[in-house]
Amino acid sequence: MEIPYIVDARPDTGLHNCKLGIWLFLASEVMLFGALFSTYIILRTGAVEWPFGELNVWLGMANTFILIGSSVTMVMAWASLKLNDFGKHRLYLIGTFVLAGIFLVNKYFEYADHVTRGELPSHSTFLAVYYTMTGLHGLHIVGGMVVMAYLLGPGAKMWKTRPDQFSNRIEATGLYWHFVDLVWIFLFPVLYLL
Amino acid sequence: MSLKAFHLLFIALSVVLAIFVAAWAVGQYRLEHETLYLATSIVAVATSGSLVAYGAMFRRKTRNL
Repeated sequence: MEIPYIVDARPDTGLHNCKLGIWLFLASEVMLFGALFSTYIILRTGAVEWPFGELNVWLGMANTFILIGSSVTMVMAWASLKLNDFGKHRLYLIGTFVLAGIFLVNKYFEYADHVTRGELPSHSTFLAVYYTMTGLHGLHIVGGMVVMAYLLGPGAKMWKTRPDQFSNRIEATGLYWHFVDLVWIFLFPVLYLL
Repeated sequence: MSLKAFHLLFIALSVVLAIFVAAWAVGQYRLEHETLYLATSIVAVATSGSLVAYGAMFRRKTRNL
């Protein structure tokens, strides 16, 4: 039995299964990060004093540029597939994967710097919030990299047999990746600048 | 929402962030008088302009996708 709406959009919703699934997942992610941002606001407004200038703004800014760049390479990976250029698609997807890796390396150096100064989550409420939010965001970056590695490796075979379904998978990955980037667009000013 | 539309939304929010960073850098420059902050504000304004141009170009080039 053929599963319906894998490739074509369902007429009443205008969505295929893959897109509906990823948006339901992203809705749950909005609730997760929304709860964390709300917690941050409550803790910060309730605090007598809140530390400022404890984080490396320049490293955070570099990571912002890296993630904006990775969103461009991700959307280009999808657009290349739509133009039937599988070679370019792979190059752009590898580019996205590499940029994600650079982001994590920067994050490692940032964490290592804090740890060597004894600034662990137990040190202050600010650092607890910082490690929780950036740590969870970092895990999402790792998750995206795992999916991209699959689509660059064994998952790429689908392009030869079911190209439309493969394009849908890349689009869903792109939506997830843009969400992860969007979380950083809010995290950076909230934790590093304000 | 398609990836194309989500990408344009993301670029729009990145423009807002770049403008915010420029304003923050100007504020820091007024406080500390360090040239680095002035340079940051100029780079942030240039980035916001580049992102607007990129967004317009992306929209034009992917119209038929």
